[in-house]
Amino acid sequence: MIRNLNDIPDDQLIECDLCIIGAGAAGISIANEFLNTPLRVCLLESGDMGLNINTQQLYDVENVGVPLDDSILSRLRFFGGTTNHWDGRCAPLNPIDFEKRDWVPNSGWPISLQELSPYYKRAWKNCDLGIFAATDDVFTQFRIPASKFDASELENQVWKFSAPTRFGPKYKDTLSTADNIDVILNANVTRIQATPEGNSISHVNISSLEKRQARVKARRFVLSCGGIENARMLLLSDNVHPNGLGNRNDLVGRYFMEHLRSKATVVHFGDPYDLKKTFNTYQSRKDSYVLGIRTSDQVQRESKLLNAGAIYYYEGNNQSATHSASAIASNILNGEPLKDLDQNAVNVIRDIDELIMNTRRRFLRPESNTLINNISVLSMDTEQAPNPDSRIMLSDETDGLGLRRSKVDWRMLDIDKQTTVESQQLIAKQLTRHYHSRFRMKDWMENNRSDWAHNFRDVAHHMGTTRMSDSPSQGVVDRDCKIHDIENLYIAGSSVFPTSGHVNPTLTIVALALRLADHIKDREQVA
Amino acid sequence: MREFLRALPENPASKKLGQAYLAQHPAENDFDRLLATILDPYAPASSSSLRASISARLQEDLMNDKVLFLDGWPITVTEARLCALRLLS
Repeated sequence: MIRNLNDIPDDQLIECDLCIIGAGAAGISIANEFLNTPLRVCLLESGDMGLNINTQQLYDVENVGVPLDDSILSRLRFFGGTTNHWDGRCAPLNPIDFEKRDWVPNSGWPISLQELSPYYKRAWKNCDLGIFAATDDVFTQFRIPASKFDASELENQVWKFSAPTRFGPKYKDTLSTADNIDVILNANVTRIQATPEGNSISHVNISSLEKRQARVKARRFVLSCGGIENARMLLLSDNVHPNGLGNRNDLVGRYFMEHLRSKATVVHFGDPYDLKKTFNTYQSRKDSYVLGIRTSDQVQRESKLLNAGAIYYYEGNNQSATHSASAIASNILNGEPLKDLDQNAVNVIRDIDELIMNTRRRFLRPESNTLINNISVLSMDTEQAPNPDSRIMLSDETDGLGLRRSKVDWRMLDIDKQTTVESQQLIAKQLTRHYHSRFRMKDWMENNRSDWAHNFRDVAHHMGTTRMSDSPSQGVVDRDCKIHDIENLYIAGSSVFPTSGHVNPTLTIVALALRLADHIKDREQVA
Repeated sequence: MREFLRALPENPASKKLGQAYLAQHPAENDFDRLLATILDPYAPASSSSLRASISARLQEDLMNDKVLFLDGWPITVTEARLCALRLLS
């Protein structure tokens, strides 16, 4: 059933077995695992079925470090969460991401990739990614020429695209018809209430923006509100533990990480197709991939770097012959007046060779995006090292519910910059050597400018703020994603990542959510 | 030799690269010394053999990771020396 808190009588006590706070990729994945089981599940969602700007405003933050690009709209606060606008790029973390690396302080996951692998396979299905294919299989399927890069320095990295699956629309009907699932919309958690002893949670208080209130009592609670909100909710719930829940060791909100995005414009002095025929997007009727690169484990170990991965974009040049010919053809096929005919005709005549080359390749390799010019864009995402001083705190500003906003102090370490600079230099050298292509490093990378951190873009991959560790002195949750010292409060989402790797986080978020669901089923003895 | 030097690029970008190289390698700030690093003393001095010799050096630079970053660009040592040579000529 799906209900609206505004339709429920005020101050009602709602009782269930499992209360899930947040209906994004993690929360919905967990709820799905309990469909038609004996457990009564309550899934709380702050928003409604679509975007409401007043609800979105609850995401606003106070930036006191390197400012986040757009804290309000980069995440979405309605049923389905940020999957309502994600681009669907998926890949499992690399094996090295789970290791304790002696050159990366605070690195190492308490669980291994092998332990997570079965859940990655299930997450693959949840995200509608079809059949799992290894990198070699993708090369075979699409007859992709081998990379010319030195594999000891730059390895191939494959991402697969989800449709992208919008978890809200996709799973709404299933959840609404399940007898044991109670979805409550417009239900903002205003406090996670610990028992007087402080070692468990008794209930959560919820409120709509219209001030309709209720309490939800459960045996177990899962907090799945995203990398910033998870920490914020724990810090806000401070009436039993003065520093907030799970924060005995002052770790909640610390180790805030992002993927550091940097771009470079690559100029191809030789055949522009040389790079593109390998590193490109590949689509069949069922599958869609992008093939990129990552710095090898060997390079990371020898140069003491973090992980970094990159893809190439071949952006269309609207003055190119191919673009102009497409514009003319499109006008004709759609029966439209010919727009900018003079300029388009000049462009076609001027670069007729390029048009012929593109046309031949489009027909020879129809599965590949073949718009060509001599420019491409390298887009690199660098792992950020876990840093306790990069953190989420509570602001003195309040939101529409009267709750303190998040204060974000996003910081970077020298190793973050060093990894970006040295990884880009490595790629630049390899492009020069093997593909007759070059790009210019940005000024800030060469000079010791104090504002270098401000040259990175965040990509709304918020991670690490309730990190996983076997020791309560080094993490907020244990290997089962349960908060240390609180027996019935779990965390789902990227906030539990001890390190971030370089790949997009959603697939790992779903895999960890499914693993948590299995753990709770085991504890509740649900088959 | 004059023909060879005339064939070298002369534009603001290559001048900038030449200046950056000489700033990093002040010991090479000497036309004859720099020329000696590029020319093969035993090769015939025709322009075609010069081109072949320089092309071989460029390939050797790339294969042996003799690549510098000047003004942000990855440049082989031979390319950088050519830019510097033009500047000093």
